[in-house]
Amino acid sequence: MDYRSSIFKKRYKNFILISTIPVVTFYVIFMILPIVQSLYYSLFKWSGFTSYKQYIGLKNYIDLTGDSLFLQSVLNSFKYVIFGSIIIIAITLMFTYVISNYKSKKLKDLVQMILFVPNTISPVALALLWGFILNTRWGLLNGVLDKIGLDFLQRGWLGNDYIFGAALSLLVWIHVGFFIVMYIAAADRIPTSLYESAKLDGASSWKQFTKITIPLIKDVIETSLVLWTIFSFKIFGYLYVFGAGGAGADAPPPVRNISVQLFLTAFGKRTPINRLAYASAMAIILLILVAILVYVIRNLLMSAETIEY
Amino acid sequence: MKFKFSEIPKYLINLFLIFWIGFSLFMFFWLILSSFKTTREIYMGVWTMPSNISLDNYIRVLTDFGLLRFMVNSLFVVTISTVLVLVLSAPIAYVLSRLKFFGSSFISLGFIIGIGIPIQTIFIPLYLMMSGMSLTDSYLGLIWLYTVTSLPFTIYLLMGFFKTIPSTLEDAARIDGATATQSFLKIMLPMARSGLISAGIFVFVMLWKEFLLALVFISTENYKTISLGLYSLITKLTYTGDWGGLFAGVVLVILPSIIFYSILARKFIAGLTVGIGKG
Repeated sequence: MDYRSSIFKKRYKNFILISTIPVVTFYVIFMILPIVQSLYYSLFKWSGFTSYKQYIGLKNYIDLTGDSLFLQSVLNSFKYVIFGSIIIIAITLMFTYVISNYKSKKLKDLVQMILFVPNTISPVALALLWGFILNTRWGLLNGVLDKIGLDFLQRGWLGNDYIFGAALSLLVWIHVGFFIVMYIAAADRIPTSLYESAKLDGASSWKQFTKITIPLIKDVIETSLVLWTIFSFKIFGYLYVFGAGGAGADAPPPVRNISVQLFLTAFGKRTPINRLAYASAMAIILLILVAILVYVIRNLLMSAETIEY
Repeated sequence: MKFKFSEIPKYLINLFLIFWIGFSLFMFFWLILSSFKTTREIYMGVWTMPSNISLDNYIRVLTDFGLLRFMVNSLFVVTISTVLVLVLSAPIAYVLSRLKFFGSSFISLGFIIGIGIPIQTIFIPLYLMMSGMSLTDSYLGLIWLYTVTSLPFTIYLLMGFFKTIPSTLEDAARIDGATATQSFLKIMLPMARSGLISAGIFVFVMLWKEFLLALVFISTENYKTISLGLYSLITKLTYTGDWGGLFAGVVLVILPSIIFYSILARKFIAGLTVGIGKG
């Protein structure tokens, strides 16, 4: 229907104006404009709490290239992207394989729902819980290892050597549950006739999965990769609280991604840094990195042709 | 079922899945058990049973440490924000998904890009803006921020949903001379009810667990939300070595979410996958 034809145009005009203009204005002022402001602040030397701002051009950005804590947080963000995506997508695919083969719809739904649960819970609570589990002295993991005679595997999981992996394991545990829901929904839309003819040809369920399911849910797998990349950079609560190890201290450098480092630089309480302009430069870098990565991944992976069935 | 050699990967992965879920449940069970222990008993190791089941830890955390207050705050802020988000999102999502007008695809794209904007890239200007208006440390400020940051994703979600609703009824109404407001209120909203409920549940859960904005914009005890409140408990309780209290605090934050979710899980998942089902 062509809504631009003159009869309808008049009748719809007011509704369109009333429903869009306030929301779009609100959205632009509070979400788009601040990006421009961040860019502007990043060109100054400024704590954020005085009226005097000194224009210093790109100096904040140059300083960032020599800021070892910041560089480590960038490196960590990439480590979360790479290790996280490999582990999460591999596990999610394996689970998709078995869950999508369940005959009972009830069981299928139940398993998905259980896996998804961590996504509905406060990151602070989950980070604390994970800290309890990995606590060296009285944590669940070391306790279980001791009980089943694997005490030689006990580690100080929250020490500097293991804490990155420990934080990553928390993120994996949560996000497998997130992506499995997407994958199963995509797998469910594949017509059963495809599997039936494959079965007649004697293909094993594993073969069916790799030859039919994976190619046909490729778009969702790619979307999950893009989403995970964005998450790796912007995830905050889990890492901020988990790293603190319960003592209320700042998260240690090995677990910080850019988001955590950015927050600590702008609003950190333990060491009041309050360098809002400098932190704004980090914000701009964060935005640019996310944009570039998403663009690159989409172009590398997204094939122009979509598979029809 | 007959054992087939070619199905070995399936058995192994099923085993792994059972282990995964089993571990998650076991972890949760241990968390609840530990929340009844005294700190001394927690120190004695994983396999120590609580000597007596008392609610001391819970009562202390809820009242002395104000967790109850934080929950009420969250309930208030999150409920109002969720309603506001839906009221603002539904009409624009309807317009963007159904009508083509000057700039409509540009606006849609603008919201989709907004989903990817990390809050961290805008919270410094927002902080300065809000403190300029004295809206930090207030319910209003938090509701405001929760509403605006939830808009892009909610609009995207609802646009997907509106697209799945057939347009025949609407066309008929239009030919009969209904205005856009009439067909939106009388036809689309009732038909989109389940989609709106799913989106509402989704927004509610996401805002209920929100932490970063609360951390930046709230510092007074009076206005702390549940996530922020639990975070502030960490410092207080670990200084006094009250791990039992902290376990109870974690249970008190996790349990309501799990109960709420398990009642509404189906709707929740439906909201999340509305765009995927279409193929």
